Amino acid sequence: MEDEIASIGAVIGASWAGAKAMTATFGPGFSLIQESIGYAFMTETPCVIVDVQRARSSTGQAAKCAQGDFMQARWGTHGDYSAIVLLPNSVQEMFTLTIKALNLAEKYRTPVILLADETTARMREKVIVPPPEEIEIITRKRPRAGDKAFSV
Amino acid sequence: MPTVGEGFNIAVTGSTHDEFGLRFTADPHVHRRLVERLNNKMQKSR
Repeated sequence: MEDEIASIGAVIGASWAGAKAMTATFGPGFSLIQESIGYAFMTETPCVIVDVQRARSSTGQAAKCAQGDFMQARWGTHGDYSAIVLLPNSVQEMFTLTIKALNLAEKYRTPVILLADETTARMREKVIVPPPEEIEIITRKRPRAGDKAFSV
Repeated sequence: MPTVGEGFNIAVTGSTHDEFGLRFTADPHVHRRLVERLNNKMQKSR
C-alpha cells in the first residue's frame, strides 16, 4: 500500500469482506492510522495492528529500542473507547500473541494492538509451533439464515 | 457479523447509531447505550 492510512483502510475493508486482517507499522505509522483505529472500534471491525516501537518521536532512532507508544496504544484515537493491547517480550510470544490478538479481535469485534519494540523485532530464537489442531482459533459470529432479531 | 457481498443489506457508520445500525446522532440516550456497550464488551472481561 502507498502509506499506512491506505493500509489500515485496506485492513478494515478486508475484514468487512470476511477476512482476518492485520497490518504492521512503527511509531510514526501508528500515529497515522489512529483515526482509522477509532473508526474500526466504532464500526466493530475485527482487525490487528502491530506496532513495532522505536526510540524518539517522528522518524527518531530507527535502530534504538523504546516503548514510547505505550500511552498512544491506549489513548491514541479520539473519543471514548477501550483498547486491547498485547505486549510480546520474545519471538515465541510474537507468534503466540499474534494468534491471540486475532482471536480477541474476532471474539470482541474490535481492533487489537500488538505492541512490540525494536529489540523484540530483531531477536532470533527458536519458536515452538504447535500442530494446527492444538491452536485455538476463534472466528466471528455470523448471522444465521432466517434470523429475525435485527430485521429492519 | 455479516460479510459484505454475501447478500445481506449492511449499514456501516462511524456516527452514533442504534442497535439496528441507524444513525441517531442527536439522541444522547442512543449515544450512551452505544458507548457503554462498545466499552463494556471488553471491560467486563478484564
